[in-house]
Amino acid sequence: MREKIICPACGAEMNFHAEKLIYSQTDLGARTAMDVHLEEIHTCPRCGRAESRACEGT
Amino acid sequence: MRLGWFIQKSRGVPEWKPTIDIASLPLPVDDAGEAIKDGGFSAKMNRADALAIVSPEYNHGYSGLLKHVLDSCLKEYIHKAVGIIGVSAGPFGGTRAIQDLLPVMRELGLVNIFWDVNFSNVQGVFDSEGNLLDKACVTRIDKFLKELIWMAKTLRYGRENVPLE
Repeated sequence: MREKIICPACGAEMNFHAEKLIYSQTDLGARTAMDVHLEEIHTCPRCGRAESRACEGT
Repeated sequence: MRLGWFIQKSRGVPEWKPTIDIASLPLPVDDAGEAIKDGGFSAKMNRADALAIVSPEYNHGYSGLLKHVLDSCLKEYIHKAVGIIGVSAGPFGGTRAIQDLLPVMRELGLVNIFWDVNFSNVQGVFDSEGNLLDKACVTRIDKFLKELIWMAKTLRYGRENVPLE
C-alpha cells in the first residue's frame, strides 16, 4: 500500500494524483537513459500545496 | 515580458493576482531546470490554480527566457490549467509561439485549454498606459478566461480529491 504524504505546511493527508517522468538535470545538457525516474505528485486538499517523491522501486 | 496573471487559491471566487514580469526574476543563466529554482516564483506557482501566459513571438518561436523560467519548476505545475496569449507586431498574433509552447506545457504537466488569445499588430491594440483600444478582443478574452477558470476549478478538485489509484 502506498504510504501517504503528510503536508509539511498544514499536516493534512495529501492526495496522490499523478506519476511524472523526471529527467535529472544535475549536469546541464547531460541527460542519459540512467537519468530518468518516475516521481509521485501529491496535493494537499486543505492548503493546496504540492509535494513529490520518487516512486518506490525506481 | 509578462508571464501573466495567476489565480490565487481561495475558497470560492477565483482571485486574479498581479502580472509576473519574468524579466525581473533573479534566475542565473549558468545552469537550468529546478537547480535554479527561485523560492518566490516557486511559491506563486505552488499557490496558483492556473496560468495565463502572455508570450511574444521571437524568430517564429517562443522566448528562450520564458522557457528558462518555466523550466525552473515542475511539481508546482502538475495537473493545473494553462492558457496562452500570443503577442506580435505582425499579423499573426504569436500563433507560432503558441503552437510551439503546447508540447512544452504538456511535458510540464500543465493542461492546455482550447481557447487562445492573439494580439496581432499589438502597437495599435493598447495605448501608452496599457488600456485596451481594440474592443473586438473582449469577446475572445471573455471566452478564454471562462474556459481557463472552469479548467482551473475542475483540476483543483481533481488534484485534491481524486486519487490516481
